[in-house]
Amino acid sequence: MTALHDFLIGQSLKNTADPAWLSALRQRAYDRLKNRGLPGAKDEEWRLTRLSELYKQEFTFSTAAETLSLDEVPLTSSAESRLVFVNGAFDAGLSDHHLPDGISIMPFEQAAASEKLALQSFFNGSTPHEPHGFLCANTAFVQSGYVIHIAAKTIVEKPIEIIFVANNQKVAAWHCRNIVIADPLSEASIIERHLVVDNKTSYLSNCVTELHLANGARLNFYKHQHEAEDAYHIGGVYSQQSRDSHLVTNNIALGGKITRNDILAEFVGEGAHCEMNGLSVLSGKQHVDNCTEVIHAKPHCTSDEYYKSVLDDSSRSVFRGRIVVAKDAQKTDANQQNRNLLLSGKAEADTKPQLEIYADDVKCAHGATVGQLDQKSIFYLRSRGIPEEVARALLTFAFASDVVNRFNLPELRQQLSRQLTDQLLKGFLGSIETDDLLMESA
Amino acid sequence: MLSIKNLTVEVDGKEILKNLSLEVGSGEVHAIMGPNGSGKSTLANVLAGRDGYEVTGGSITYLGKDLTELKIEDRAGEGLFLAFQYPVEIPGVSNIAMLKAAVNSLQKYRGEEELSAGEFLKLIKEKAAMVEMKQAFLQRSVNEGFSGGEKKRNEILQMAMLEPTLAVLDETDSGLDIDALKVVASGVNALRSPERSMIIVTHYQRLLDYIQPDFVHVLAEGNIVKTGDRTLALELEERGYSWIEQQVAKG
Amino acid sequence: MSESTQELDALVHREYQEGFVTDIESDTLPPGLNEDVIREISRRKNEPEFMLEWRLEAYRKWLDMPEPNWAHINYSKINFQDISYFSAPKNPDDGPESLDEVDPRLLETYAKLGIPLDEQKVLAGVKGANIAVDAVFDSVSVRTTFREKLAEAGVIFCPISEALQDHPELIKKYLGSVVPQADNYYACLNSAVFSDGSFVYIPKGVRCPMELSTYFRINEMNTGQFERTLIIAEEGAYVSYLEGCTAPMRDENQLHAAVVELVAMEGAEIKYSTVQNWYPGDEYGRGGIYNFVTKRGACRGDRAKISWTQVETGSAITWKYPSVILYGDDSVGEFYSVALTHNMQQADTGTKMIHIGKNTSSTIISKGISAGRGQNTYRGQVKILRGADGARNYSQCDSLLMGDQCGAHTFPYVEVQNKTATLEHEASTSKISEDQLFYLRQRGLSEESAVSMIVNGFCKAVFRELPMEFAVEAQKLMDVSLEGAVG
Repeated sequence: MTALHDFLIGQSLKNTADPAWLSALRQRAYDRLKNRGLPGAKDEEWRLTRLSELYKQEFTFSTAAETLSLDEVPLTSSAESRLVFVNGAFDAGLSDHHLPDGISIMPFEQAAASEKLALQSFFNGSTPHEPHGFLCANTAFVQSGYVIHIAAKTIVEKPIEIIFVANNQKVAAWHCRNIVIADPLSEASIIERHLVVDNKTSYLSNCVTELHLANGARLNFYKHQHEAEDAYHIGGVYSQQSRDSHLVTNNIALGGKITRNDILAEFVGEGAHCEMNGLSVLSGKQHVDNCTEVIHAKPHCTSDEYYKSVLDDSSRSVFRGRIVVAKDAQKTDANQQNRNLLLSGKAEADTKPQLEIYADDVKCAHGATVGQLDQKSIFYLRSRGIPEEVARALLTFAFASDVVNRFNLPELRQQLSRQLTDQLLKGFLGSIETDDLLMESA
Repeated sequence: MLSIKNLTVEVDGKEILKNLSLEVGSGEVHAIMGPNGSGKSTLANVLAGRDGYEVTGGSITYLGKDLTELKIEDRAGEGLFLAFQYPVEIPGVSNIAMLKAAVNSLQKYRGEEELSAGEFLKLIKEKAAMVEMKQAFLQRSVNEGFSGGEKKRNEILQMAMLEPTLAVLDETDSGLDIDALKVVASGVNALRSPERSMIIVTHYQRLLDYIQPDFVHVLAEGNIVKTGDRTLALELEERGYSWIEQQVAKG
Repeated sequence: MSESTQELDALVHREYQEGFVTDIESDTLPPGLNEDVIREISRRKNEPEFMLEWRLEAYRKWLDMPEPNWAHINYSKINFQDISYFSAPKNPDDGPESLDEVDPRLLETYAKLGIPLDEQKVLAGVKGANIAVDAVFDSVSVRTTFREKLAEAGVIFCPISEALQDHPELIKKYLGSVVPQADNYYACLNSAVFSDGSFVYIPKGVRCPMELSTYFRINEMNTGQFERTLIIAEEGAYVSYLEGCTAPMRDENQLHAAVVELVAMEGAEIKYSTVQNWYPGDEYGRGGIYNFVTKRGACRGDRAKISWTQVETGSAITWKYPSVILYGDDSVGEFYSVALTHNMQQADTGTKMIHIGKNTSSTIISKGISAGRGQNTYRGQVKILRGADGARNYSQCDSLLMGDQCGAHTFPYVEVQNKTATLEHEASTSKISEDQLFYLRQRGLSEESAVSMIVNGFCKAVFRELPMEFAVEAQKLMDVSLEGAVG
């Protein structure tokens, strides 16, 4: 076994504050981790993501958060309320609970103890029955995270923002579990950000989010990851959707050394819809592995997956898109697109659509592209007097912002657009306002 | 206008509607509510004449005619309109082409003169504005790539174009966000008239906050177990469908 | 079964409308194949010596080739000795000089098929006005219209047998240059025994002033049709060419093994459209044409473009892969296809796009419709060779299933040897559902209009590539071919 594995199973599970159900779940996950270990090159779903370097490291668990001022953390000004976690621990001082009626937000440790929330009926309710090692570690060692409950028919107009920020950590690891419970006919937007103050920090963030949508609930969920250069982010967004519910998960990966996200959506009621958007903009030796899965277990559900990556230098993107349509899931409409733009000859994109269809009256489409910028478009722009370098940057920006334009929050669209401008346009367009580049959202 | 008497309907040999009776008069709006599997959608489909829904007992009389004798398209010709729970996608066929074909077919059935292209365009623009649908939507393939809300608005647009005498709305509210729901509801309200009756099938009471029905019926296990006014819907929401199911179980 | 289903079922038994036989005296070689038969074909056509040698060379190669069996089709083995390799209407011997010399029964045949052989009528404004037609009846061309008008523009449009007499140097240079004799089993057989077909030559810089088209008709029993078409577009030339095919209803299967070669030089464009409606056999799979066809184009110069559009509704078996070899830089290959299989029909069709030049691009749009017990296979290859920097391909394969006894299969083969290539593949399989029909009928459309609307919507992306008149024809053909397919 590896150093990381040895370190993990050497940890104590005892936490006196835990309710009994959580202690039991921790123990079960710990046993599984101990027996099966962390995923390796032989696991088909992990084959293309090399973790050997990570496995050599012995992490410590992060302890007390260091002092941090909010000025250093980018915020969403329109956010309704905000929770901040520093190095995986809840920071009440930085958080701002302005809560409208019908919604409650609290750190995981507090929610686990609340009898009213009955968290045990949601915890691990949307994760696979055969969890991989990191998911087991997350269950066994979960220390914090957020829990949001939105009551029936509550319409939350402004987004709720959660910030996980890493600060001055040397070889630390943390395991957070987030759970969103959206009751019938509720509507909300949640932004989950993973940021860093000092880019030289090295750590492992193992962060799992579960989304539980009841009948007719609607949720827009954003996971914006911009971890440190040397950081490992292993996480997942696992959702379970009831009848007529509507979920959009947006997965934006811009930082980190190795990022792995398991994005899973399962329909357990009819007439539900799920949209999955993903954007990775990578350079250097960055590696992002998005392992997506949509399980159409009920009829009349629709899913629309749209993942893009922009790969420069020696960066690499791995995309797996599994769609399962169960025998009874007639009238399923599943669409999946994965598009990769290679800006360098050394960059690499692996795309692996997997369609497993057991029903006979369904519509499933998938498309995958790996390619360079369109020569004709470059030629066109150059013929208008734009230098080649700028033309390339503009087209790259257009390729990436196509995903951003699908986001429903104007402020976030602008923020990310600005970030993409910085990253891709490299000051070519000094005099142009970023907002001018934003397309009118559909 | 519509008289359903002791209607029994089987699907795949299983009785779904059992001895159901319902009277709908001109201009009335009836809401039908009920839990999953109570037979709400079956009622909507049997009225429109979908294959596989076998009437094994009772009668449906619509404008003095035996509805069950009519073909699907002839029921449409007689002014019956079904807004689908899951509107169907038809790739490559533009919304406007389909509507033109539908309007022409109905006029032919009624022995009326066809609308000129100009009249048709004027009419469709007006109705599209009513459901806040952009012109570009009319050129797109029927329901293809439409969001849930767009599909449902498209149903209301078609209803506005075809000007039915009896409109059956099958879960037109399901899957909608609050803003789309308001648009759909105002479209429906605009189409209310003394000559037009509506049957609104819904799973959620919320729709009835925006479209006020004259009657509310609760369907459970294939029959109407309770009829009342709007307040019945509110009571249902508060107490849940299990309340009705318990009452039925008690007999 | 519901009442409407019964009505539709009755329509299944509709007749193949082009299934009549023309009672005309024919000069037909007895069945059988050997070197003497080939010599006889060549002699009757008064061919130059090189042609006979070429045929014999192909025949000898063919004898050593195994019959291919990789396609997703089932059929009983063809006995090549049972087929007659040449059949021609007896009179006249040397092809008609004017319409008066054409047997009136032949004219009637083409009139029945709606094909204008009378230039006067065409000029008088009959539908499909600006079209020159070459009509091939069994093994020979019976009439080519508008030749004089085309000649004024420098365009040669004539039966290939005549081209062999008048332009042997062009034939010698190009025949077999795109599809070599031994390319495949059926192409090789064709090289040995081909009887007639069309020849088109568009000189440098000429835009062909009208659509060219060939109508192929198999009439005689137990004959095979082996036509050979060769189209050459010189630098900067443009031509749009359309072929149509029909045959009588007969209980035995008949073989059609054609070869089409296209050559596009620098900046030239060839648009080749096919509406194939050979007799498909009856609902029990009796009779019908075995359509084993090799079609290939070569973009020899930079910026050349070859576009194949096909609507395949007929034949018991269709085996064809119109392909483009993209030699020139920036050259373009396109393939648009609608293939419909109903009753017991089988189709294994698709394309090959071979990218050799830089910045070459290809588009493949394939729409397969399966009804009854029809089997429809898309088989397509996209090959990007090492030097093809910046090559691009877009492929889209959609299948529509009508009923639950038919099948749709997709076999894409992608081979990329150059990292700068961009490939895009999309595929979908859907069913013409009770739901779609119910939806449209609930809006007042009859079941027939509903089916027609759905199928034509599905095929829209391909139909719009056809010349206008043929798009309308194709649309009607789909309606007729599919009547009764739902239920």
